[in-house]
Amino acid sequence: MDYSGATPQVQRLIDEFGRLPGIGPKSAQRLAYYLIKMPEEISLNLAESILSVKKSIVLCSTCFHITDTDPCNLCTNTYRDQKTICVVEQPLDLIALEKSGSYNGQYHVLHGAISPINGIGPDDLKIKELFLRLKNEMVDEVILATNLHVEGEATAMYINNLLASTGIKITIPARGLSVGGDLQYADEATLGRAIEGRQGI
Amino acid sequence: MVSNKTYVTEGLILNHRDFGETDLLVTLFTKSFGKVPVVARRAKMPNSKFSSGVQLLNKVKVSIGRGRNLDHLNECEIIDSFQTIKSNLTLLSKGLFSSELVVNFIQDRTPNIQIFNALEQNLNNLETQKNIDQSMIWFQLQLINVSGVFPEFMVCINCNENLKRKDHVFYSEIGGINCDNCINVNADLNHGVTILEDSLGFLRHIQRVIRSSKPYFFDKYLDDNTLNDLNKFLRIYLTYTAERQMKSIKFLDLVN
Repeated sequence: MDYSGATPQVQRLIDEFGRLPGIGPKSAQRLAYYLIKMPEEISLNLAESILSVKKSIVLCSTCFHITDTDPCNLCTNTYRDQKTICVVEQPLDLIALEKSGSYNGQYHVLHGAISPINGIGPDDLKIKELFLRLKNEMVDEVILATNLHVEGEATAMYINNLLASTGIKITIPARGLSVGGDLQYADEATLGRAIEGRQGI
Repeated sequence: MVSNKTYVTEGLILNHRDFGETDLLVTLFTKSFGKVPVVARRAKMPNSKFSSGVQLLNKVKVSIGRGRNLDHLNECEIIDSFQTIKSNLTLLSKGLFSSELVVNFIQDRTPNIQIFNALEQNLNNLETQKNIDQSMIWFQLQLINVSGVFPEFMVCINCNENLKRKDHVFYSEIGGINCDNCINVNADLNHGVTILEDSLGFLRHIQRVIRSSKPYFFDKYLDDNTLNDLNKFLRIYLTYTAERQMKSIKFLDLVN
């Protein structure tokens, strides 16, 4: 045992939990001791499910979403609109859009955004793959749903510039006030965008 | 109201990275306290009061709380969001390159009003699209000067003789040029770059300006050849002095 009072095996478990996003040293310790107290069967199930996810999960070769079948269920679903592709940065963005229930087209996951200051350029993302898709599929509209930070908007601008000559309709989700938000607390950038993008009722 | 626990200042957002699930660690270049890392709590949430304020290249007025390890953002008000820069990839690449240079050349928590003003002026020039290339070069030269590594362009670095008016090879390792008589003295150097006569004339002019310490308004016209030559020299010299390649250069080359 070291000064922390944990055996090397327990300390290793704490360290492994500590690698997870949003888990600090205290939370890692709490999770580790909670697992130790749990019946062995539950721990085994957890370990097996982690291993099976790691073994069976692949990236869809069409949209690059995380999936266990290639192509994924979203790409093979014939009830979905095949002529619209929504471009997102991360698989979690896709899941958020799916949860909204307001979009029924295809997706394309870039796995990041252009971030010059961190050395991430277009070649590090699935942009080439998007263009290959657009060449081979009959697509009418591309929705650039990248995140609303400088890197996300730079990515959208870059793709937009490259797509400009293709004749495909390019759109972005509306920018502005969030539902339930008070006008007086909105910052000037958000308000500015909201006024620019105003629409008739 | 400013207490020991908080301070209010103006700053430019140089960089940010994820810090935990919803926080951002923001590199802020402040007017009064230099470059400071600040945690912007919940800044990644859509309804965060910081999310638009901490966007790259924003000029902001901030209230910062002192922390045991890291300071944290209390309030953030946008003064200028440089929207023109952010809606043009060429301008954005130059703006981000400028901010990366400051991240690499300026020490944390060392106030540097000269570089703050130079960066702000450069961003203003990019925003108004006024003499963009000249502005970028003037900004980089000021940065080199303030970092204390401005090279010698007037005389030979070895024998101190005045250099002839012609093209010369500049060596980053020695921070200057060898005259024709001393050309073999540093034969083992390998960071050489040829600088054209016109570019050297401009660099000598800037060296005189810097030495005189008089206020200087940069309004020199530079032709395309000189601009390309100066950019080539600056890229090699900045990479050598920073001891690393700037990450944003690849994108800068791609969109320019």
